[in-house]
Amino acid sequence: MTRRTQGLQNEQNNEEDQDARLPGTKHPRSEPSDEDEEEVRPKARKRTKKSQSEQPGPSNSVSKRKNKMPEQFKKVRGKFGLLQRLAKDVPLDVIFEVFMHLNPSDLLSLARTSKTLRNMLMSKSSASIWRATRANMPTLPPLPDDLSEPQYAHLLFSEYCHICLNKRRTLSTLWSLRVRACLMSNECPMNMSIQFELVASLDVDSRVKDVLLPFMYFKGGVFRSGPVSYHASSAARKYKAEFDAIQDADEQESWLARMKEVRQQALEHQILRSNWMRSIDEARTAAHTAAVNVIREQRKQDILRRLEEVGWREEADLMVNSRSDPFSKHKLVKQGRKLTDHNWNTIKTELVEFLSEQKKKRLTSNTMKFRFNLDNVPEQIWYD
Amino acid sequence: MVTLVTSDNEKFTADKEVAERSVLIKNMLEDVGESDQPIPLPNVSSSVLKKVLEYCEHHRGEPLPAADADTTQDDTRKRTTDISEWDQKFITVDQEMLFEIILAANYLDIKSLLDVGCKTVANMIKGKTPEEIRKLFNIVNDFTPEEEAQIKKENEWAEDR
Repeated sequence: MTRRTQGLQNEQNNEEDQDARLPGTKHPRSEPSDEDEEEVRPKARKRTKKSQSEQPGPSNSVSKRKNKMPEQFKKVRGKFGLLQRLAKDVPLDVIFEVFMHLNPSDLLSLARTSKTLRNMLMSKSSASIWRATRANMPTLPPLPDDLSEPQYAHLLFSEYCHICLNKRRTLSTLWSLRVRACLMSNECPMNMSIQFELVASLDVDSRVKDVLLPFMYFKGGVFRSGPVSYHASSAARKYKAEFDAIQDADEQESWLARMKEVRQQALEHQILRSNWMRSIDEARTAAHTAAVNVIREQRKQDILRRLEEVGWREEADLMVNSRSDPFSKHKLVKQGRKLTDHNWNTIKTELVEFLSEQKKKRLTSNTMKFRFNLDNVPEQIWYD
Repeated sequence: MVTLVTSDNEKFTADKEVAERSVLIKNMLEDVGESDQPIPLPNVSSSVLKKVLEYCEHHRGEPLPAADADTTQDDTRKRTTDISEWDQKFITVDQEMLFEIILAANYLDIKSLLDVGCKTVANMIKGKTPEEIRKLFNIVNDFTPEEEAQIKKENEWAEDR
């Protein structure tokens, strides 16, 4: 990784040296990242660098370049390519320190920002970083044997459909197919049928068919007589090639046994995953309910405050403090959204009507209670 | 008292207890023994050292992490991205300063400060899309549109391709 980064840096430095001959088109600052940015957004220069020595200047090539530059060009932009500099100039263990606080989905996003970060994160030597981020989600099921770390993150957290590549809010992970897809969209099911085909049509040994991963069972529909198993055709071809390459019958058997084991583990893993997904969903729902409750309570308080201004607070409080609390349950009150001025103006009349209605009812029933109590007075005294 | 000299030749004096929160300085002091000799810190500038000493001053007297803390990396301290209120305020600096603080904390070997810096960067990244991360850190998207579509599909280790 270091060598690769070094190479990148050198390349960039060469480019920069050329560009540096055109005064004003490039700023001469040390970080390769800044140069990159300059090409795209040359306007954003702001801050003047105070002193050159303020900069520890982690790389040699950098300081060499610096000396070539005329003083007046020694400027730096206000915004700073921190992350790219971290990735290029800082020891790997420091980046590890940063990344280990993230989640796998964040690593996936980082790996899609730029080539430097991608090269770094998609290299097998970064597997420990991915492992560390998975440990940040203790309930996450372990990595399945047939997936790499980035593949697993991609399957779990991808924000776009694996098949049509569109960003969707609702995506389902089809664990057994190793696909996360938006099955609602029109283009998707079509693509699905292109990518996943009946393995029978691929002329694969039936023993290989039994151990294939990924796979998906369909119980059969109107046009099908019985359950069929779908596979990614690419995977089927790969398995077939592997199997066909083995000449020895015993070795074939042991290969089949090994693949069977992998598939069995995948099936067991699936249970873990679905439990995990359920727990995530539950937690998400609970968090959502809690958040809505907070907004609801705030709205109620806001309404009460407004009612106070128009002289109806007391009546509302009586209801709030009663056992049945019809006020909080009122359809205009219990909504899970913030009370705005406009909103208040639209609901005001109806609420006040409701309150005066309630007041009327209350007064009538109080009178009744009062009479009732009077009737019982002698008896109460008697029993006392 | 200990005298520290920064890369831009500025002299700082600090209590030994404060300066020794840096394992590097602590080791240096142990090596030279009792001496008034100033300690050169060629990798740290005055503006950064000022910040670092502010941090060490605030946390003086607190127990230092064990020297072999690396072996206990799995403890929960590492795992959370919570930062104490004071540290939070302290680390609210521009990205350039944040970068310099992380470098300095790494060089001076001040584990807790390195931790705060790294957590801060991590918190900046968390939950963001690639595009948002690029914007925040001024990262140039050097993928062509074709490459960008391709990398969405490629999630295998680079060596395996």
